[in-house]
Formats: sequence, structure tokens, C-alpha cells
Amino acid sequence: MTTRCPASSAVAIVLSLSLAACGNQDYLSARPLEVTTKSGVEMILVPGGEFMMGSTNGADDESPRHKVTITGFAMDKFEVTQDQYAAFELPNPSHFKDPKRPVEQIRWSDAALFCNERSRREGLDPCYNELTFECNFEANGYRLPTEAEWEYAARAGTYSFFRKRKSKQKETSFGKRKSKQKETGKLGSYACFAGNSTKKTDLVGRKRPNRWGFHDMYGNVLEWCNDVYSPIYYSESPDKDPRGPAKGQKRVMRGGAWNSSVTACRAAPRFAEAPGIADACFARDTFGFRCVRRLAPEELERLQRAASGGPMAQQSG
Amino acid sequence: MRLLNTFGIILLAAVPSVPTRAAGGAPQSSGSGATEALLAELHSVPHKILYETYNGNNWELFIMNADGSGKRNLTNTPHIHELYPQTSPDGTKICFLVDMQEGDDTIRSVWYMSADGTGRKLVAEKARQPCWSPDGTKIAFVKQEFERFNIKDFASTGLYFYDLETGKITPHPGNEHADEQKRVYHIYNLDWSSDGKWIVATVHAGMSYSHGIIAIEVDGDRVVDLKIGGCRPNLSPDSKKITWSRDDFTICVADVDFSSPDLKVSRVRRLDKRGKLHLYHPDFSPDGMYIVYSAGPGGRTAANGPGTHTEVAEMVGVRGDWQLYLQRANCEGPAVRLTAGESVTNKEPDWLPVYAGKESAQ
Repeated sequence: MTTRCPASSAVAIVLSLSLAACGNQDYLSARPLEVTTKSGVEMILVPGGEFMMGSTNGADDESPRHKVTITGFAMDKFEVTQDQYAAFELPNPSHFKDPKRPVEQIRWSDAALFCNERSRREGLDPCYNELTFECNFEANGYRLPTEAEWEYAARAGTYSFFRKRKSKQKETSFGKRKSKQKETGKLGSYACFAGNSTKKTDLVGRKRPNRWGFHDMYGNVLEWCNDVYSPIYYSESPDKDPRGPAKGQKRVMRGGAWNSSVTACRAAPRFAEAPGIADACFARDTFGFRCVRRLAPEELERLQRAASGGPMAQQSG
Repeated sequence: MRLLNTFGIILLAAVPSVPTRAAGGAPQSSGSGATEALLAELHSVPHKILYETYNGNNWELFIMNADGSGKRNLTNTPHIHELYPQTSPDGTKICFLVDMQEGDDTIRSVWYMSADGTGRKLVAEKARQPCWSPDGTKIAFVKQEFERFNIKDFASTGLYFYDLETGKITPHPGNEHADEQKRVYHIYNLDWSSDGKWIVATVHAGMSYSHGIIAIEVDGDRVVDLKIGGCRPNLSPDSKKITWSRDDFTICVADVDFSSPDLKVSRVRRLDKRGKLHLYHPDFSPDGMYIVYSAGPGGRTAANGPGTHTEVAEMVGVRGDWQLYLQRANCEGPAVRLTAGESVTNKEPDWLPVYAGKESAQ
């Protein structure tokens, strides 16, 4: 069951994130806590834990499938919307204009800058150096998720949110236009993708959320991750909180977009694109993002109190 | 891995060679006959080139001869940042931007003055990207999108016309248009066609466009997509040709027909393309013979001086190791570099017409 509690302190979100918060392995079945930040953004407290990252039957860069331990974190429930972006008096770069559609045509560097703006707005320490774009993971502000965090949140305690093999069969059994309904299948309830989109993004949150409450993880827009991309990273990445290679030309994108095929709309596929640090103009109308935040122990404690019916919970009304 | 495709580049012509150049002075030939011939040709061109320079913690407007010689500071205002010069078609006036610091914010405004640098007059505050009407009686510009300054070039809203005689500002009819496709916003780098009927501009994430170059009817609500991609268009004085940055690395030239219903663009060819050097801000000479443009490394530059911002250097107000180059508009022959200087930024060039008997700026 979802518990909501508004943030009420100068440190906007109060979040928790350890297995303790959700009771050992209960996170696999329970829906995590949701909070609303000081700037009114809904976030979900992703419990720390272990999961199997990657895939054994996907593209080469999805393997080896390996165990990863993730420290808890908070992640936006929805992709960053255009009205959230405009609230910071930033020019909306999106092609498909609507306050409730996700921001798109956004470069990785601008997504990172937005994270910093949002941090400053809430009195938090920005994570990104705005010249080098080095990420300070120790800062308490917002940043883009690591791809491990993203995949962990996308899988939401399951191995295979969609039965990939079944989806593949559908894709090959039915022509692209022959049976749109069948092709869409279960995915269509959860994601705006090529099989059901109107050739543009959808309003965020119109599709069903995944098990942990995240909307549009598998569709609408691809989501920038913080990691530099390397096709062999899974062979050399650390077991705990992998943060990507130190250097590389491209940054990782995850999820699917409004024009993605069924096979792309899964937890494991890895995409990569130039971050746009050196390119003023071009980003596609399939590129979006959502933000994450690390959680301090004191925040965790405060959240636990709130969730157990303390004063903050009462405030939530 | 699934790498997303990046934008393709049209390969249109051979890459021109670039002569080497000694720092400081006029361009020097690498010894090639073609380069020497071009420099000799430029030596006799009467028109001047205006540009913005960042040196010694200040943006100033400089002027030089077509061959890069005779550089001098036109504004000489150590405490005022002048940028983005645009000369009137008769060469008697210059409109430009001024950036003023107010705390952490920047107030960017549009001004104009005589071509000799005197007689400054404010056109509009919180405004940017000015250009001249072909008869020199009006200045078109856009307003910044939000109260808070944003360095992004497309952070603009509306299109406005300042009448030099009356001082009155008139909004374009499309500014409040109900149709998203005709409501003018997120445009930049304006240029007015010689028949006075169109303004070409870059649009980015506005007017239902993802990104591209459009023509906006000055007195109506027609908007035409020129379908050439890229940004920062500039028209030849007779508006029969257009030059623009096709992408970060390529400047193109094409024919454009403003008398055709769809403003047809044809015969696209490549003017210049460099490996990793970014090419921007092309501008036709008053006789249509040459194109001057800026070039420099990509990547963000730190706001490391007064009046500077952290962004990519093709944007107004951002420093970078950028210099000016010139090429024949017919895309033949070499490019010559016109400026140099360590830690000196030179960009956003604009030709200043000089006609017999009108030595306005000299």
C-alpha cells in the first residue's frame, strides 16, 4: 500500500531507503513509499537491495547478466514534465508541447543542469560541475540515475516485467500493422510506444505504473542516465552501486520511447547517445529524463517516523 | 548495443584548404596561389567587417577590412559589453546587443548607433537578435522568454518591430496567434529579405517545429519551413541566396526563391567543413561575393570573465577560442583566416557596406 507524506522541512524530500524501511525482502511485493518534494514533485523511495542486472538473451552489451547491490534512493515517479521544466524559467526544448507531456529534445547536459537547478531551488547541494559535468555522488542534490538504479527501478523487484520471449513472438508473428492490438498486448497498458502511440509523446502517467509505482519506464521517452556508455561495462563493473566507466563519448539512455518497437521497451536494453555538451542544437524528440536523489540516514529516520504515523503523516491529511 | 543514429551530413563538395596564419596581423598566405589570389582580391574590397571581440574582460565591437587588416575597436567601452553587431543595408547604422550585469542576472538589450560608433539609442530591454529592414527604417528583434535571463539562443518569445523615426514598437501579428504553428516563439538569428516581405530565422522547439529554418511573413501569418535543417540563416543582399550552418561543422549555401509560393530552396552546396572545428554565423558580403563566418572548438566554455556565460561558444555572450574566416560565396577556392589572438574571442561577423562617397565608419 502506498503511503504518502509531504516534505515539510528545508531539506525538501525526506526519504528512506534501506531494506529496513520496507521490512527485509518485503520490498519485492510491497509498493514503496511515495513523497512529494518541496517543489511539488512526486518521488518514490526505492528500497536498497539486490537484483540481477542485464539479460542473457538480449544484445551483446546486456550481458553478462550479473548480481548488483543498490543502495536505496529516491526517484521521480514520472518523467520530468514540461511544466516542471518551465517552472524554473528554462526554455522548453520539447517538440510536442503540453505542460503534462515529458520534456524531450533535451540534451544530457541540459538534463544535468536541470538537476542542479532543482537542487538549488530546494536548498540542496548540486551534484554536477557545470563545466566538466562530473557528478558528485556525495552531494545531496538531484542527479540523473545510474543505469543500474534505472534498471533496478524498472524491474521493480521482478526479473521480467514483461515476458520478453512472448513479446518477441508477438512481434514476429504479427505484422507491424496486421494486429496492432495483439502486438501492443500487455505493454500497451504500461507504455506509450510505436504500437499504440499517436506518433508523439503521451501525457505522463496516463499508462499504468510498474509494481513500485513508476510510470512510463518502458515508453514515452527514452531516459538519460548518468553513466558513460561502454559495451563491455557489465564484464568489469563493481557489484555494488556501479556508476559507469570513467570516460567515454556517449551517455546511456534507458527505457523505450513513443516510437520504439516492442523489443526495445524492456528493462535491459542499453542505448547510448552523445550528451550534447558540445552541440547546441540537436537532441531528438524521444530524449527525456527523470531525476534521482541519494538519501541521508537522518532523512531515512525522519521518513520512517512519518510513515509510522508521526506528525508528518498526520500533516498529510 | 543500440546506438541511436546521429544527424547525417550532406557531402556536397570537397573540403577547402585553410591557409596558415601568423598571430596578430593580417592573414598570411600558406604559399598557395589560390590563397594569395583571394587575399589580393580582398585587399581591393571596400566593405568592412564588424564583429564582436572579447579581450581584457570586456566585449567590444571591432571593425576590419575585408582582408583582415586594419582592425580597430569601434566601441571602446571597457565597462559595457557590446555584442552581435548588425549593420543597416546602407552601412550608416549598426544595431547591437548590450549585456549589463545586475547581480547574478544579465540584462540584455538592443541598441543602435551610427556606423562611426556615436549616437547610441536604446531600442528595447530584455530583447535580443536584432536585424534591419531592407530600407533601414525598422529593426526587428525578439524578446527574452522569461523575466530571468537565459543564455540559450532560442529562449525568445514574439517578434517585434522598432520604428527608428517614431521610436514605436509594433508586435508581429503572429505573436498572439491561436494556432500553435503560427504563434511566433523560440526563434533566433533573424534576417530580413530584400523585398521586405519575409524574415528568415532559426526555430528551435517552437511553432510546432522540432528545429529548423523558417520564413515568417512580416505583415501576415504565413510561416514557411525552408526544409534545409540547421540554424543561423543569412540572406544575400538580393535575397537570391541563403547561407546557414547545416550542423555544428558545416556551412552551406543554396539558392532561394522568395517569389515562389513555397520559397523554394535549391542547389545546396557546402561552403566549408572542418574536422572538429565548429562553424557558425555565416554572413554574405554586400556584393554577395564572399561569406565571412566564425569557427572554433565545440564544447562548453566556462564563464571566466565579466559578461561571459558557461555554454557553447556559438551562443552570444560565450567566450571561446573562436576566430573569423572568409570564403568565396561560390564555394570555390580556399578559406582564409582573418583574426587570431590567444585568449581573444572573435565571432558573430557582419559586413558593413561601404559605397563610394560613403566612408561612414572610416
